[in-house]
Amino acid sequence: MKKVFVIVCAVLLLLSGCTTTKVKRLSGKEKIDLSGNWNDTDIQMISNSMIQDCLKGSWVKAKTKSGGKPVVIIGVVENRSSEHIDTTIISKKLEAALLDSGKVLTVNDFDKRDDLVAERQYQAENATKKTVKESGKETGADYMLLGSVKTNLDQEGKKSVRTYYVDLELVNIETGIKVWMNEDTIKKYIERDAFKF
Amino acid sequence: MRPYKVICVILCTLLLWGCASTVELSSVEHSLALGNYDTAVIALEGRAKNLKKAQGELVYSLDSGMVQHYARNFGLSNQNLANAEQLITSAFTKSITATVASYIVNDNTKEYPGEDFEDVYSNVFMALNYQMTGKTEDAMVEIRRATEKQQVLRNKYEKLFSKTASSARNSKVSAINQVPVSIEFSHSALVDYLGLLCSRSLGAEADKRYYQKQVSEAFQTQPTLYPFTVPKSVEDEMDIPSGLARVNVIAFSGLEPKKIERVDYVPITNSNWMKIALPVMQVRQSVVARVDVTIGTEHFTLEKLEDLSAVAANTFKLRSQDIYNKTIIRSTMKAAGTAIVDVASHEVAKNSNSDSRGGLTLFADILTLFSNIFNVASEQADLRMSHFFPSVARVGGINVPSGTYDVTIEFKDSSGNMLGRVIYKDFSVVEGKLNLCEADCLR
Repeated sequence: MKKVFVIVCAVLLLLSGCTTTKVKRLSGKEKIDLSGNWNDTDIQMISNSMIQDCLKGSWVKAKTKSGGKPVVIIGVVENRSSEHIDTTIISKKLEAALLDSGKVLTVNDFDKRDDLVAERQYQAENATKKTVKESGKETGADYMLLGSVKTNLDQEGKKSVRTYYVDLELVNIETGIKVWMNEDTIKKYIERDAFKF
Repeated sequence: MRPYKVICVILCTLLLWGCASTVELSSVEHSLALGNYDTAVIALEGRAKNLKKAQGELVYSLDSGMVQHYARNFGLSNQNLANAEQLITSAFTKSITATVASYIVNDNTKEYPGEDFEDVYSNVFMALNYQMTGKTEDAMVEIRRATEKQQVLRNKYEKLFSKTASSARNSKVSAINQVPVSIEFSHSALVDYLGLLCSRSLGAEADKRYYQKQVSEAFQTQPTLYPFTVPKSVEDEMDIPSGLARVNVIAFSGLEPKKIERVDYVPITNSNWMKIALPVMQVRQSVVARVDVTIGTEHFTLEKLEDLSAVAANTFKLRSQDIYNKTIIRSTMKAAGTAIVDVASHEVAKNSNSDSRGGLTLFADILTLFSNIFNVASEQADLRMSHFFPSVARVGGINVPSGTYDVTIEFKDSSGNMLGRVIYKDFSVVEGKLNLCEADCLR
């Protein structure tokens, strides 16, 4: 009987081991690479280097049309890579850093403009005169942030090198002159196991 | 446990491990041929368990991805095709035990790694899925991925070709039946054509020119795969007159080749023989000979851009040399094993005393028979592959003013008889956008 009990316990333990999903909290700074594809670590690396360089540019102190702080609109960071990369994560990180620096102002994104217009229309009909926000008073941006992410793959058997090229640039909307640009590269060496048991 | 019982258990396990890889999918094929794509989805899902069991998760994902694509369930199609792509990537890591077993039993013991054309065309259909849902940038990602894969394949083929050529020079076995191999599939005109359309739509001029050049190069450098002229519409894609929008039509017809088993028996001795079972690609001839398009009052005929069946056969050709060599080695080993069992057991029977000789001779006969049965039963060709990629791609386009049109695409046989018709009612055509219609007739 004792023997049977031990066997049953062992089988139950084995079965429970097969069905458990393990979850472990990780700090945002922890670097983990699973597939070799674009991941959070790459975003952090690219964003940090780009932000520091961007805020060092002379454009931050340049005179603007309004005479105040330069105003930036986040344009399109194109995904021209061979992976489905959400490039808005990079541009949003950069936008947040620009705002945090206190040296720059940013305005609403393209895709959220309609929401503001709709809200103003709603307020025009429903808000009190004292609180209603008027149309035609938005701040025009001085600069637009544009960029792209590209990839290159060099593969031979189980070894491959995947390179990501991220370029960002700030363009003066009135003159079309590029006031800042930077390109950063991430190179990954990936080696897959040729055999398993 | 007695030794012969252990041997029986091992043989049965190995036989079950490498059991037949064929599966009955005629109901799906029938529905596809009739254009009843929703019925085909139901039929395939009904066979899903059997298909996965017989041919594995990868083949199911490819098949389901394609059938869902024809049924215009683009999201589900992408889920399945992306899963297939993932499985192809992970199949790169080979199981040692399965590889060893494949030298004893057959190639079905190994995980199916997918054919190269399946890997590349998965991205083509994922690109079409994205485009059909208005996600041109994502479609372009798939095109770039397909382009990358082709570059990797080019290197792989070059290496494999030199390896096969050198083994042909050195091996007596390969000299029996090896044919000179010329692998030409280095890039797909279909991938490049879609790249051209998507990059034009995204306003990427340099990419557009690059892909147009690549289409021409595909035809020039791979004449065996493209023994027809470059579709005239490829040139027309480059400059759309101002004020006009371009409507593009892509039509797929027929079904990809299928693998069938070719079996040869080679006698070794009077009572022993060697079975050689090889997978051979058999082309399924499409009856579609012509595809006509009507948009408003305009008519045009689509031109052939890619023979996917030829690409499938071409990419399989080089691998088939390796399969052939391995099969010969395995069959020879099995036959030799049987011959040894035969000779040794009969020798024991011959040298035994007269009382037990009769029984031992019978046992030796049975053992030889079982050994031969094992050889015949276990030696099976690996017939695993997808079933529902199309055979031929045709393309065309026309410039029209922006507006709403009915687009009719008619598939005809060589006598002009109608085989199928696809109508896009009130198709919105917008200047500067990729206005792409896809039609399929899988007959």
